[in-house]
Amino acid sequence: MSESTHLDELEAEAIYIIREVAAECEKPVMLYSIGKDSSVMLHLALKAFYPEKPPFPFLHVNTTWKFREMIEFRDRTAEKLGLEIIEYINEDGVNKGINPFDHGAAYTDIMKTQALKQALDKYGFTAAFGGGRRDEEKSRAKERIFSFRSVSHAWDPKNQRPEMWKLYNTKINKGESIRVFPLSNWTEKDIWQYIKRENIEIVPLYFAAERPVVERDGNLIMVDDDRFPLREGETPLMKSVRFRTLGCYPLTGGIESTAHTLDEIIAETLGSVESERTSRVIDSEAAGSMERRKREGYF
Amino acid sequence: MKGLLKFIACGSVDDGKSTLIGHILYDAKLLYADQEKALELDSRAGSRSGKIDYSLLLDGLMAEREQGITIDVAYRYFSTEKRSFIVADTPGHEEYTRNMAVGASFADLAVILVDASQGVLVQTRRHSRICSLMGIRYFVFAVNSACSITARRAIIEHALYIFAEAA
Repeated sequence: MSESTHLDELEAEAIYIIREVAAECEKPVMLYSIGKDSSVMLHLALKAFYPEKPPFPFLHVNTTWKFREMIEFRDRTAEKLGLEIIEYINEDGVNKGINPFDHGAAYTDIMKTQALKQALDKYGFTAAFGGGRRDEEKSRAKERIFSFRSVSHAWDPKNQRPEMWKLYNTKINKGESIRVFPLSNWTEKDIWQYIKRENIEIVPLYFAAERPVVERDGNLIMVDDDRFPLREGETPLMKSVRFRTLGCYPLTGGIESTAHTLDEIIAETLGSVESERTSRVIDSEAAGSMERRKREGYF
Repeated sequence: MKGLLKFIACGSVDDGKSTLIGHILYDAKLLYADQEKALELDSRAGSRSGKIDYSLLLDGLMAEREQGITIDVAYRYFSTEKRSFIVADTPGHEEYTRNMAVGASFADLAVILVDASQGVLVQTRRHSRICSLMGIRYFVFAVNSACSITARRAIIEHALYIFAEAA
């Protein structure tokens, strides 16, 4: 009971935001990245319009390097719930052979940021929900719930629109768009507690299991398929690992764990001395790298 | 019953809002190890004095770090045994007052900082008035850099007077 008041408040806020966008925006879409935050956001979208289905499609920007289990989970979820999930892949990037091993930051830009912008332009979406949380990163902590983007999808952090109480101003000019973050005020702990309370299904990669991993630059990287180029002397070892965040498998570090249940995961998360972003290879590149990517149109 | 308290830190520019919130998070061990390490590295690279600059925990935009000021509201989350908290750190500069108002519209309580060596400034009064206008009912008055007891007392008396006027 003691926790539920807090979660109820967050849930009500998120549902209000989702309904507001559905009512006010011309062509909304919900980004679905298959991770735990997306799973919570999807659950909230279902709740917001139940028993109707959400009045907007879902979009998955696929870099082609996601964990196989994520794609299986996505397809199963879409089928089970009868949802329309649009998959978008930057084919130009695929044809040029852009990959996370050889292209570093350019890979993220081309396969994620550019792909997202292409997808939003192709379908003409005017508002896109994202599962970003303010507790994830310092520039996210500064972002409004309704975050406005220019015609070229750029975020201008020095000139954000005022956002008073719950009066969200959704007016945009032609070509501009809004990124909307209904989970802005949730913390990682809230997400896990809500998943438990609502019994939300999540990708099994979040639970510990024996998986083939190699240790690279301090990260435990899972060798998910044979596209992974092993360096000299590297042999995948079976270790009991789980993932705290999910993204592209070559860029997502696992943690050694034996947590098989939600309660064990919650206990580990609460006792963790490292933030969840440490398991994302791209986030530790340089100070301000998230802000720079957001200015360029990343979520 | 465990509830949620939303509060803001406000007051005039350079009165130590970001530093206060950052310091509280740091002292209360509410940071992850990697965040603490990043803070120490950032402080060495960018702080004004070379010592740990707690404001860097809040001032997350590149422009804020370059100029050493807060431009927009930063939201931070923490919880204790008794409560969950959301704290919004707001900018003190006059030109960013609209961003401070965004933070104020969301809060139930305001911590208003005053630098004892500066006293109650125009922005302190303006922020107090905005908080009151936005419907905030609870205030904490924090006097910073109070070197002498008499100075502190004079400031507090003056502040209370301003407050009575604003509320």
